[in-house]
Amino acid sequence: MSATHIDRRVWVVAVLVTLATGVTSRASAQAVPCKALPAHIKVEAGRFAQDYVTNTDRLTADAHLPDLAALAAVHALSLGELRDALYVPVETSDANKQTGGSPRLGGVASLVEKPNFATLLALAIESGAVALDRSDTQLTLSSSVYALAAAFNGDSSRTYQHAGWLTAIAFSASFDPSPDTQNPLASVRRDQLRQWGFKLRLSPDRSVRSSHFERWWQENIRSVMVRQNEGINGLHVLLMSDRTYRAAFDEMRVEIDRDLRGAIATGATEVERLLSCAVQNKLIEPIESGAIQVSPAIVATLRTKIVPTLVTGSEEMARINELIREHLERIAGLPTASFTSRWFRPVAGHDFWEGNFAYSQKLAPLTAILNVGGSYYMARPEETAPLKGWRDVVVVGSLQHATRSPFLRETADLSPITIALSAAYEKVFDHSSTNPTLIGFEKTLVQARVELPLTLGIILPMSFSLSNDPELIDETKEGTWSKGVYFGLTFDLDKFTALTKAVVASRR
Amino acid sequence: MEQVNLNRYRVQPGEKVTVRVQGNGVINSAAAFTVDAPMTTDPQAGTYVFTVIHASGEEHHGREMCTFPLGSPDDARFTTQLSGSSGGAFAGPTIRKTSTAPAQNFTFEVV
Repeated sequence: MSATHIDRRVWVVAVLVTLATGVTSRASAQAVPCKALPAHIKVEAGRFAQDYVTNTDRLTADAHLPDLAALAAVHALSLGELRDALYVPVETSDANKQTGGSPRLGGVASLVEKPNFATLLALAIESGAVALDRSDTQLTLSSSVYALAAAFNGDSSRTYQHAGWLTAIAFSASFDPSPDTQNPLASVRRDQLRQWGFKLRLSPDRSVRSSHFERWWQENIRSVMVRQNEGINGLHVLLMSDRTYRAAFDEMRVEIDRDLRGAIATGATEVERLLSCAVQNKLIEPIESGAIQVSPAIVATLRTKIVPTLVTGSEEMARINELIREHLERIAGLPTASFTSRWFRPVAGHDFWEGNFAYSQKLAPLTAILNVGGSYYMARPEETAPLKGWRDVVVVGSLQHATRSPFLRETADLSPITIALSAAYEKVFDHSSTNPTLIGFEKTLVQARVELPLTLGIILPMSFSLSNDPELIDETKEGTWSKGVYFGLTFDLDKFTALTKAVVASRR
Repeated sequence: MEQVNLNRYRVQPGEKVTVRVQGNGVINSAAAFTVDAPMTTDPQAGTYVFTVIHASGEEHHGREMCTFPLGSPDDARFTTQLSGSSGGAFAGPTIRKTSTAPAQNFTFEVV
């Protein structure tokens, strides 16, 4: 919770202490000019004023005045704000999401395929070189089937409740944005669409909108929300049981109700001024001056029951925050798995299908990712000498470490910098009997990769790799390893949406 | 039961008051209603029932607090209906996702 929340609780306690100590100086409540409220209470008055003005139901003073009068600060414990604050860290801290193209494509910056994928849309432009003398560029679009449901029905909780299971199915397509200048006779369409396919998440939905998380929220969070509500209401109820407080409150309420009718049309600023002046002049100052003397029995109850409840509530909130953090960490530590099926149409060479199983497991502080896959030649109908059979098998292992980006420390964006070390083994099968150029061989690749989050879901991936691929090694140079450098730019709409919503919410 | 305004009602001693909080675009149990009287609740259905235990001239005070989980539509809202066993059914206030204050108070004057 922020310092503002703490300040509000401090104010509540201060008001209660004022009541408890019974300051004896007296002054006429009505004679005292309107003073400005403390900043944090003024914020609450501003919120209520905005609600009075914009709520088409034409609210009366009864809607918010009890809160503002007796416990303005307890709004600091609003769980709506808490859950919004949670969603952003969870969404943006996901470092296990595949946003780029298939590792099999040239110019793709990652050697390993991550099991998670974008729910809404991810866009990646990657450029690089399999070897320093061979470069390629890919434009990859990926999304889940849920995005289609959200497009028609809105990305709402209701839509997610009914169609959230569609997030388990994703599709992607990679395009070559630059036509192949070496094969000008090839069709532009064929040149540009290089790969398409789908991915199935095999592990359960563990997002904060999943039914599992919703149940957990109801069981663990709602009870706190109810207790806080009871605490705030209890404060108002107790204060209203005091004759002098109730008289002052009712007088203030009637006046505010009357004045609101004209002020609502004038605007939120005037409503806020009315509320602020009323609370300051009719309650705070009279209580401080002793003009309103709350009975000692009520003050004692405030001191012994309500204040401890509020203190316990704030402690409970801290505990809840820790509970939520632990719960989210536990979720993040669970293994995830997916299966990908893709069809490739390379500019040169034979079409093929790829099946790939991806699995990730948290091994604190690292995340281990394992890929096992293979590809199969797919003959086109027009081919006179179709090539069939297994093309290759691939095993990839990767260790990844994510750390908070120092460039995003002052923001709500928790997108981490990820550093990964990967190694791949591939066995390419021999088909030289059908095509003399398709000679079988084995190769190994190692790669170091860094993903640097920039802002609002934009990530800069960079990698350096070494390969003993015999097709890439320049035989005129010494050594048996070829080098590759990759860079790219990816955009994650999920993170962008979460962050922009948080910015909008903070400005309300 | 009589409605004075959206947040203020007149009730009779011993009357059973039913408050229904219905989520639109958001689950019912993301809202909570509390009152200073013994109450039976069904959060999933959004139903809260309490019996007026105060004497004439006194008041019951209730409070409704809502949460709007992120991802709920912009027009998500909680509507409130109140009814009394002595008669009378009324539409109470609506708390919208766009509302700056996600809570409202209720006063039940015992007459």
